[in-house]
Amino acid sequence: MHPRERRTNRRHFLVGSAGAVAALSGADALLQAADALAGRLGAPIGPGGIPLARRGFPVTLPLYSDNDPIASGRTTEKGPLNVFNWSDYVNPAVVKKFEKAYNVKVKVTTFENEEEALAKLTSGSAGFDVWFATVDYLSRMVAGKLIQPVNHSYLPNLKNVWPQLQSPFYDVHSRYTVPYTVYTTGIAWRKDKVKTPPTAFKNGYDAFWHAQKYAGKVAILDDQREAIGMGLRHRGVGDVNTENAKLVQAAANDLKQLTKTVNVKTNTTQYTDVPTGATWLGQSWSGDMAGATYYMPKNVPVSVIGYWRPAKNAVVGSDMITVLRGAKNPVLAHHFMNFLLDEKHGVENFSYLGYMPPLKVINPDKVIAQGYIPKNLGATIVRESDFANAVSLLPLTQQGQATWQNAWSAFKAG
Amino acid sequence: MRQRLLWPSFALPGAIWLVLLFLVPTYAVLAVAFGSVDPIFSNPVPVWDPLHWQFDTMRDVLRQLRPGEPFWTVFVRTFVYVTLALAGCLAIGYPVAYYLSRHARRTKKLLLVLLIVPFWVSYLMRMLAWVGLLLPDGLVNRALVDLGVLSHPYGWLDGQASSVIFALVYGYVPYLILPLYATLDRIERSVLEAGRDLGASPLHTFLHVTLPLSKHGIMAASVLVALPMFGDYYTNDVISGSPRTTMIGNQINLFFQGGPQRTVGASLVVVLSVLLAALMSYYLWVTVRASRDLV
Repeated sequence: MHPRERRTNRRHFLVGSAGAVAALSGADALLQAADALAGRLGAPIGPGGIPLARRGFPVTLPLYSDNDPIASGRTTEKGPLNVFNWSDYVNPAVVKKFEKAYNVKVKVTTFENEEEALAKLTSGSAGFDVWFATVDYLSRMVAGKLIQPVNHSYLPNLKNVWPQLQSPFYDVHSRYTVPYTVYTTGIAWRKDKVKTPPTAFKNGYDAFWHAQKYAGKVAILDDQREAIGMGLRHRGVGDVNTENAKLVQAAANDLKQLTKTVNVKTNTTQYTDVPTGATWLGQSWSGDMAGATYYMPKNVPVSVIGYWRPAKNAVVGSDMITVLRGAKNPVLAHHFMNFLLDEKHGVENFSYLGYMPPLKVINPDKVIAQGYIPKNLGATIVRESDFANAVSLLPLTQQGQATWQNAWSAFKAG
Repeated sequence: MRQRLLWPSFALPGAIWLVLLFLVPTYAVLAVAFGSVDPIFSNPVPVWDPLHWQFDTMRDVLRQLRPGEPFWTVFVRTFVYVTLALAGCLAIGYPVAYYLSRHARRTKKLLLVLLIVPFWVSYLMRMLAWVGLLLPDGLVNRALVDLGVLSHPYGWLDGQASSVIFALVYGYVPYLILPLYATLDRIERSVLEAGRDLGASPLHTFLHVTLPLSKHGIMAASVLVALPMFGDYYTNDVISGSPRTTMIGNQINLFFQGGPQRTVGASLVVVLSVLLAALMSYYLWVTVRASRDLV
């Protein structure tokens, strides 16, 4: 527990354990009991006093009396709907269809990283209705009351989602979110250049530490959680959310070794770098590689690209959609979420993004057969069973964040 | 009375600009560096009252600035890159400015316009264009291989320090040429003629007349390009991405992009500003001394 966290914030939290929800009053005795409970269960308390979600320690996000969901049966607002999203993270054709269906205008404003987004949202003047969030920020958004709980009566399409994501461990009962996409973090490589791909190793992550021949053509994600997380996996540490400074530093030191041996690059441009050959071996997100076809230079077939992630315990991420608390069009926002969870629209969106919505209707084998994903990139598809057996990069305490950031900074200093 | 206020009032917009957009933000950086962060969003909480400033973060940053520590490595690298890039800019820019001011006649205006053309395209776009050019099968490699200069494509984008320095030179050279040109253009021809009349060779005239008289311009132009280079981070991000070429701007960006340590980012800004202020003071001292010498 970081000393800078205010005790008063922790009065609000609910500890969810195996679905049991214990609402805590302001009594100190209860607080301490909850602390002990959370501690014993192994769920660290995060910023805002909400236990950090972990697989095995699901979190029911707290509701606040001054932040209610909208009532059922309200009439739809006339818009325009203001959507705040990552750039290129929704199919414009699907947005157009929504505009037509509801006879409204949708204004999509984009951001490049979540800090930038958060700065806008916390300034309070942004005026957005819908926000595309990640697990990392979820509990902070709830504690800071920036997003509002959702009313499921507007979200019948939630039933189309994989059952385990209808009530995910990071938001039990989907109180504040609906899922948007799922993806894995793995390794992409050029089959025509790399003779020792991840598949040649017992621990596929070791490929990076045996890539001396490809110096200069090796890249890892410019994302401290993903990169150091991979260092941990390479060392055989399963808990990619550890706050143990020694483990984190050791993993960062392993990455430092890559700087020496292969002059490793850090970026998030594998979706074009691997196709163009600027990178031959690169840590990548599955969604980025699923769209590799579109970035292949002339005369280079997409079949030269490989993608690997461990069959079990892959790093699986999931993004979500939320309604902002200050939304002027909350009903419309709910309809928008519901629209994206529609089977047809979800598939159409997937064909544009490369990032997959966790919809039951998407049959991985069909996706390949229908040509959405090239056969050699079949591993980019996330199956429901992958999600069940996955590890996830989940929020850390402030102290933990600092530990990771310092290790990352030392690695990045070269 | 009105007369007395008239001329000082001309400085008012500039003064307001300076206070609002320079002094206040600079103080805000200090307030962030010596402040804290909020417990939920990790947003910086600036502390405006110096009496309540906390110096722990700064102490930690300074500790990491000792030789052999990470920030030291990055600072030294940044100084080396900026020095080399500045030398490159001068090597390319000075002859161009010299030609423009002395020898370009009818084409002068056209050339000046052409010099301004790069400003029409944003710096970032120009860097991204280089990525396309420097790819393994990009135009640069293809041309060099076709011409027989290289036997196989060179890995310009493989995290090379040379590529980052070249990119810095390319990006900043226009900013150097224009002020240099202005200085060289102001040197009176009669002074040069006097040099030659006194028997100096063209090289001698250049070394003993033109160069000393353009020293001011060289200093000013160098300051103009070196300052932004010190804070540059996207050139390295786009062209290299390797930790071996990380500059101090990248480290500052790392701490501002996310996480609970904006105070570290702000502290690095303060340290960099102090170092640059020291460099600027030297520049001012040299120029003051030079103008005194002229008198």
